[in-house]
Amino acid sequence: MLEIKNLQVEVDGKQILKGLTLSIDKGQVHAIMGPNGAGKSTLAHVLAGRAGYTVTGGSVLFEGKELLELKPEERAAAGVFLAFQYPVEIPGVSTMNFLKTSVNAVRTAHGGKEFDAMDFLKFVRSKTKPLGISDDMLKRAVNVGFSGGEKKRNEVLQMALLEPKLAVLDETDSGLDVDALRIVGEGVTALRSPENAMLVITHYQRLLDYIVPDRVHVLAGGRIVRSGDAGLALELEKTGYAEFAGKAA
Amino acid sequence: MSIGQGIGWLDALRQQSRTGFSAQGLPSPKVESWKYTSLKPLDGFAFARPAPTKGKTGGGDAALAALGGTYLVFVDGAFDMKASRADGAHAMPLSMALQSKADAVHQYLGHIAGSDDPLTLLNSGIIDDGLVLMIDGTTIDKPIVVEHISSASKDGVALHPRSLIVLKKNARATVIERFSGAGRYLINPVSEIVVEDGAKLTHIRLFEDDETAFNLSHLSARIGKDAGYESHVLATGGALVRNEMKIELASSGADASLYGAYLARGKQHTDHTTVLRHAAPHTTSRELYKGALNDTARGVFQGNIYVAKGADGTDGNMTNRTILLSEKAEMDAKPQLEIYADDVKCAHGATIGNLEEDALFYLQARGIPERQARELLVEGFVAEAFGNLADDAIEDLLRARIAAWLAIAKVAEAA
Ligand SMILES: Nc1ncnc2c1ncn2[C@@H]1O[C@H](COP(=O)(O)OP(=O)(O)OP(=O)(O)O)[C@@H](O)[C@H]1O
Ligand SMILES: [Mg+2]
Repeated sequence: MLEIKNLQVEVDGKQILKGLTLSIDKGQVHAIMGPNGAGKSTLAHVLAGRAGYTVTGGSVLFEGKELLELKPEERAAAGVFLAFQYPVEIPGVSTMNFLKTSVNAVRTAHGGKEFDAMDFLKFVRSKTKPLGISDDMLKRAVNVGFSGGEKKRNEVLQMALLEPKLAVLDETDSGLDVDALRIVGEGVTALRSPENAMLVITHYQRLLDYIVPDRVHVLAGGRIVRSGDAGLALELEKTGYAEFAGKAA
Repeated sequence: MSIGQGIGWLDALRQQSRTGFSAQGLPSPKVESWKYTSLKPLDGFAFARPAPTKGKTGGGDAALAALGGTYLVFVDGAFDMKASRADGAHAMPLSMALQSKADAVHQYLGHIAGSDDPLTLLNSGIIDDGLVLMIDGTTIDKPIVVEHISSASKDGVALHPRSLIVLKKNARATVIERFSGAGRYLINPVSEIVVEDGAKLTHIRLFEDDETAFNLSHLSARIGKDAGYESHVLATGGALVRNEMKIELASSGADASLYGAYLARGKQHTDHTTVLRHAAPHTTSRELYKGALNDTARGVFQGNIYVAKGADGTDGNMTNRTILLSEKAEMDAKPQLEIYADDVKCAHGATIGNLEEDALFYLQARGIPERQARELLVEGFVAEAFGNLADDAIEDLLRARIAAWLAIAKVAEAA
């Protein structure tokens, strides 16, 4: 489903990704771990199409098509979803209006029909309930005044509504209390299917307890320096990244 | 033929005002408060009187008319009885009020606005028909809607509507005024407002004039003890709009909340100049003006919070925020505090910036096409100024107008 080959990315003239190769099949969940500043969010942003990154080499194929040529909204329509490490606050735009605009944009991009207000409300309610998101939150401006945990749950809600083929979760577990972690963990696990794939960026094993990965990769110094099965995450939690420090140069 | 001709005090007011205006002329750029807004485009303007309207009617806004309640239409400064709908005896055209309650009108007209401002003098020298709303202690539930339509068939027509709103003790009302029209006309409306003790006026004004027209509006309000004046302005029209407001918080507990949104494109010029005068202790004011400027449009915000000697315990807060959607758009923001009292809590701030790239990316990453994403962000940004409107139907109406403006402004192409 996703094939990243020798990806090299610069930000402001500084090389962050230095030849990253990774491929994820349909139905798989891969986890990426790695020290702060390793380039994990950079990878996530480049996949989603954020401006400010210069791809100096390599390629990214999504379902066989070159992903990097698409605008962010085209990637979303194609089924790529990024749950942001730092969800953005948008004053003056209600969460409900935002969600509806988003879902309808993706539906019409596929030649489908827009939801009318009533049907959309039903659809949203079916997804907010398990995530413990209140109607009051939907009325408020997007992420404005949301707690850290509420912002992350809002990301998972968007994922549930858009039903992406490839979801990239950038530290969706950080800043969550135990209960919120369970809600998010179960929420994300419920979205796992043989038809889609996930790339889970995390610092902790705890999210991976819910959503057991097929593969775990260590990203350090702009490259994947080690890959393994779910056991690798447990190991890293004990040993840390000291082993990879030398390779990070 | 002017309204109320032959009424002694009114004739005298007109006469004095004409003399006063002749002595001063239009404000020049040397006057501090006109530094950023030039009236030079009015050079050579004819200041002609409109032709008698002779049954010309209609042209109002369907969404506003549908809000129900009193609906008063003025065409070219004259009352349009046919297009209007009265609901109760509180609101009426000035021309009628001068017949049925001339004394009450006399008590206020010309006494709230003062007589030092040249454009007010210009208005007082002529006085076209406008709204008179006088309410005794009751609550009017449905909004009172007033349309000022300029049908100016020839260039250079000048209109000077005069309005008076007096809410007596504990009265409550919502007034919506809309300025619209076609052609290169000048409209120079003057409104005088009194909100007596415990009363509350919610006042919405839509500046939707022709993009070749001039609107130099002047509003003066006096707010009594524990009374409130809540203003919402949406300015999208006009070649030049000057929305000038002078609010006097005259007695303790008086509150003024001024909210405004301005959108300008092409060569439009939009100016919002307000003075909040805290004249008594423990008075409060909130002001939030937000706008977006496209193309080579220019915006001006001059906000002054004046805290008079003895107005201790004043709480005032003023914010102006503008986004520039094009490199050639310009904004002059001048928030000011003048404080002569003690124990005062006042803050002001102004920002001028561009659309947040992070927010734009967030929306695009959720599948929203760039142009639509920009529109949504601008709408959200300016509509925040209406977040405190209690009436959702009116807020929706204002938002719909912002969205309509954005649909024509081609925000994406300019940025
Ligand atoms: N605009 C920028 N200009 C310069 N350097 C940048 C910019 N954006 C990111 N970087 C740098 O790129 C590197 C990788 O950042 P990135 O956010 O991808 O790390 P990360 O692996 O997600 O870290 P964390 O675990 O802390 O989230 C960091 O050294 C960061 O400072
Ligand atoms: Mg990161």
